[in-house]
Amino acid sequence: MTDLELERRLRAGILARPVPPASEKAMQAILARRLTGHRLALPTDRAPRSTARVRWVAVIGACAAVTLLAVAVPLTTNRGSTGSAAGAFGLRGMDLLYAQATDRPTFPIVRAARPLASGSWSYALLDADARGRPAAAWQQRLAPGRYDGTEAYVWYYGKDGRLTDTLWLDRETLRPMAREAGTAIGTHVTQIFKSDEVLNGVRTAAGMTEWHSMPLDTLGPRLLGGGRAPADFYDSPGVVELWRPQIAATLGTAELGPGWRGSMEGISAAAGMMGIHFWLNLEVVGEEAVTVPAGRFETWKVQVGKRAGYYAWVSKDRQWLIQLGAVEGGGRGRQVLLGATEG
Amino acid sequence: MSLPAVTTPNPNPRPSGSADWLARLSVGEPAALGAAYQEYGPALLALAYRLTGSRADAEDVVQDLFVGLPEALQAYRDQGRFLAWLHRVAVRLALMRMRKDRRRREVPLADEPFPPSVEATYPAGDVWRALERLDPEQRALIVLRAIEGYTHEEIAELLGIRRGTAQVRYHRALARLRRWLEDT
Repeated sequence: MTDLELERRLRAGILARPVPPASEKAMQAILARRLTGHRLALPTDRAPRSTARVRWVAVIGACAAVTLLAVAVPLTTNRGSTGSAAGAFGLRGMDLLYAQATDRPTFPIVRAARPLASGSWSYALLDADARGRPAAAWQQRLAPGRYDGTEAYVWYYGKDGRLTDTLWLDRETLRPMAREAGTAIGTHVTQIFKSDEVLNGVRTAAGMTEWHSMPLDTLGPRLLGGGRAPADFYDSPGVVELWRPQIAATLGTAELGPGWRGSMEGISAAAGMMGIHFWLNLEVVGEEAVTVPAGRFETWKVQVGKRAGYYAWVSKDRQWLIQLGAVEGGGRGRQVLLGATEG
Repeated sequence: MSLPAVTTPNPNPRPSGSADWLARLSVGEPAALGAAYQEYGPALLALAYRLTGSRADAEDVVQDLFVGLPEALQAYRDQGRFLAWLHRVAVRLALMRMRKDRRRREVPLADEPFPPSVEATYPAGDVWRALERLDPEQRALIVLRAIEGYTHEEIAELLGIRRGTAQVRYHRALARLRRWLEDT
């Protein structure tokens, strides 16, 4: 029997067995996992070849990359700053918060008590393994502006020195007004955060923007198949996402001091199923001197969320966000200030 | 910027591989994800099932793929070859699962009777049992080449080996299957 005949028989034998159907239940499980914050890094890259030649190419490539990074990192992450840092890059425009949010404001709703000064900030996200290595870095720049006739703080942010995303925050309420971002596949997304809905616009290949609406009252946690999620839904770590500059802006405009506390409104509608409307408790719980790559700062320590363990450290002088993250758990998701410039 | 003049709700985008649909998928829009699952789920499940030999593992592979799909699309560059890209990711996921826990692999032969084989083929049960005896990589070689029609070049890329190595290993796997099947 030839190989071709053998292959034919194998094929017939394998195909003779019916395959399981793709069930609706499985789809619901997929949506449920995403709704509860599951994210997976899929093996999208081609597998590395393990030959001696490839190993040598890898060694040479690594040497070249280290040399390039040594030159490029100070240029991209440290422009005019006082600190020094290095890092790999690869973040999107949102923070996944490990703080516990609430479904209604617990404290007085935060309003801007002082104006924010324009400037640029560079941050790094430290690796979850607690070795203190930057796993990613991004930059954000603030400029005054208007959105649809209303005064706004306009934040430009992105990674690798490329400010690809724009977020408009209301200057008084600090609530997101709109966001624009490019995507990795070359399209453009616009989001408009209205009082009762979020409009998601995707620019099509033909240059048109196609809009669809997500009513705000559907952005809260819901169970698949209908009904509201349980009240402790927000207790799960990593459930809520926040546009990166929002927490820096909120704490930057507050009259921080002993006993200060407020509730900040959050809307994360980047992904339909993760589109969640929530509130974050913010409460000054102490004062600490903090050392980060940008330098040493006297800070207000602000508890973020309804339970202790997740904090923001805000400098007392300029009210910059110096550090954000969990103290315990290996510094999971902790971000630190690499450098900053005013104006 | 002003508010849009017209709002066009589109709760059920059709998978077409177009950039705007992929954009919706890449932000995890449930309707887009559901539509993608309806269109591509069955084929991916069949592929994963043949690779892993286990219904439970295959379902896990497909679930994981769709859970991670929106974020993975950030790395998608093969414009116009979305299905082929999905297949490659599914194969890699299945291989990872098979390598991770070979002992857990199962073929519930007693639960799912095989249909009678047609003339001039091996009995389906024998073929599946023989496949089960192969190691994960050899099994993948057979399924990808004989069933899915991948070229040796494509298989080499998926497995991270050279084309010639893929070819040699495939023929070795084929020879082993031939021997086992003829013995039975």
